[in-house]
Amino acid sequence: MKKRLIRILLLAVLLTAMFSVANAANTLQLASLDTPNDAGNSVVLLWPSHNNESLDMSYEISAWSDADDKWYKVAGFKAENMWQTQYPEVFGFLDGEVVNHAIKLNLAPPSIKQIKELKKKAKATLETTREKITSINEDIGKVQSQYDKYVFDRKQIEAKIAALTGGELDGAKRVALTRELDLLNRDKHKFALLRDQKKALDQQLKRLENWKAPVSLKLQPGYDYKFQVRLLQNGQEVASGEVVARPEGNWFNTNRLNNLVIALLLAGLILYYTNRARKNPEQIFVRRIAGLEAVDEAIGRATEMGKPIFFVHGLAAISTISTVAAINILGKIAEKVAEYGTEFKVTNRDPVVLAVSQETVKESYLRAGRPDLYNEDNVFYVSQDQFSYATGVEGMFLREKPASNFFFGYYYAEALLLTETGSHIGAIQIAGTDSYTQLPFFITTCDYTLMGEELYAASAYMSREPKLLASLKAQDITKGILIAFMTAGVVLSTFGINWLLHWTKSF
Amino acid sequence: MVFLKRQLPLMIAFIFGIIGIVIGYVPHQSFENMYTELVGWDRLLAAFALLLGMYSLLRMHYKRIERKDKGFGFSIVLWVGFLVTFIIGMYNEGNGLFAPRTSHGMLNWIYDYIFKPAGATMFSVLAFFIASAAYRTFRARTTTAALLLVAALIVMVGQVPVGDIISPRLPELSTWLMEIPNAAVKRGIFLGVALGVVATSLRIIFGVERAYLGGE
Repeated sequence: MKKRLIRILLLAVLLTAMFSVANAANTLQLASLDTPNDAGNSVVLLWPSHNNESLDMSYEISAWSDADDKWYKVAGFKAENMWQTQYPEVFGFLDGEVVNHAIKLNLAPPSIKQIKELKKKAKATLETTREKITSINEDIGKVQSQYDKYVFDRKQIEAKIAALTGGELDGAKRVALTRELDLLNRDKHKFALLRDQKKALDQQLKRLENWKAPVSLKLQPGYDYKFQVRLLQNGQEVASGEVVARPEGNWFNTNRLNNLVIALLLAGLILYYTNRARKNPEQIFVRRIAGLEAVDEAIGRATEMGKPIFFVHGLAAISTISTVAAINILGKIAEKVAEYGTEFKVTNRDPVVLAVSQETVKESYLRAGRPDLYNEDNVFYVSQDQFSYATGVEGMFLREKPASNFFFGYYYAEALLLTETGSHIGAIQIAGTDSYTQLPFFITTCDYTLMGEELYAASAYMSREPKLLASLKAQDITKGILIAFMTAGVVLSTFGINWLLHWTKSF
Repeated sequence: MVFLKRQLPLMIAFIFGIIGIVIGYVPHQSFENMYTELVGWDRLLAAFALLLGMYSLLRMHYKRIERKDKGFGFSIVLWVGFLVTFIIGMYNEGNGLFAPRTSHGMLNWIYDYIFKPAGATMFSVLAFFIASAAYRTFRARTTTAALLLVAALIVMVGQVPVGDIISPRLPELSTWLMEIPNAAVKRGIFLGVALGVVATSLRIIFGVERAYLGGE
């Protein structure tokens, strides 16, 4: 960060010097720098605005190609536009009058080296395409006689149909011939497929045979690019000197520094409170979450009624944290269900979630001392397709009439279909999701709904394990800090003081 | 055995969790490549797991047919549907299993004329479900329900042309409700969710949360 500040300061001094010289000499002094925080696919050009700049002038940015020793236009804009202030991620938030133009570039004509590489690649693809065409021609040759026969037969039948006059007898004949033609046409897919493949390969071959180097390419890290800026007005121009820019891949995204600080703070607090809880397991206060308090009631109701309990996973895959949170809750619910000995069914949309859920439920039954009650077929896969999944689960709801349903995870439009069906059959329903678009539907149709963060706190809440509850405390402290920052930002910005806003946006 | 069931998964979660975090902060090309590679692994694992899902589904429905459970006819439909689609898919219009899938033919017919309309039908049913759910919710039995009813009416009427005819203020009020109080609540939820996601991820990475391994 310090290094970056020094770099910006030096650049500012350099530009001020350039600005005085440039205005005196009536030329444009151009500077370049690598765009910070990217993978090395862009550079930023910077130059002081011309002293007589007006809207009828325009700037043109060109890049030099060593392939043909020519300059190519890569960008352009009307004068009195594109200022340094438009790139706070590069220059920070600048106060006072800004006199420098800046533009971020990510395209340039390819160099000789790049053209050579592309040419080599195209040549290799050309060879492969030719081989593929030879092979497909052989395949076509094998079925050509069949194809010719198909074309001949089709023409014959079509001619017979055309010759029909429309009499009563002809009607039946037409039906028979059309049927014959339909049967014959079934074969045509085989030929059509080969023909389509050949057509695509021929087109590819043509493109490769007429291969030309692209006009521009995305900037590559580690390559040198030469740029020039010209100010144009009525056929006259003021040109800058040439500047060489080299984009480099960066090893740290400073724009995410504030994010990293918060993450490290949260990680530190979690570790601190977890360790403290390990050494001294104290009772941590957690506010009452009605939906989780009702889990026992829901399981008890199903047990008394002798009806099954359904746990319905959302649509998201295991890589989504809300699914992991749902699996954590599943483990706790399964353990309680095993204690009561009630039938428990878990529906899955994702096969990986299925495998994890089976293992989780099995372990829970084992922990409850009832491994005999575990039935692998009760934790099952329904469908990968959204509405097939909803239909399948709804069908089971209607047939098996569960007494209690649990919905945890991330949901889309199927949420209401599932919960409304559950509501119609009179099941007690508890849902938990961080999908804010589906929250209103869950609140409307379920008896209890865990909203957003409650889903993530549920596992800790249900287990009452001090280590997990301690992490909730860390989470709340971080939330408090963020709220304090936001409140301070709102108050300061309301009074026109923006340093906090700029500071948090800069890093 | 304990190592395979406990320590190894925790180690994998820690290593790949840390890699995932580092990738988020390092924009360098080499880390972008690593991310692409990891996404590829994820897809590969998911492809294998799909077989597991298929096995689970078919086995469950086979047992339902065997036991003649209530509604086992649906399980027969599923098995028939699966077999027909599978055979047609393998046949691939006579081109066989290893040829590229044809862009026309019986499989596409099944998709276009059975699968898609069935899915669209289910989606259409949503409209009726919204109506019945809304009816239950908007019965103004409490102050909050009445407030919800008024807000919903303003938003709904404000979104349609008749709202503007009733009063030009209605669309403005509707937009205000959506952009100010609604957005504020949404951001509050987002803040909580974001912190919950980070905290849960960290709990898993540090091995504090182990319920996904079957718990402790």
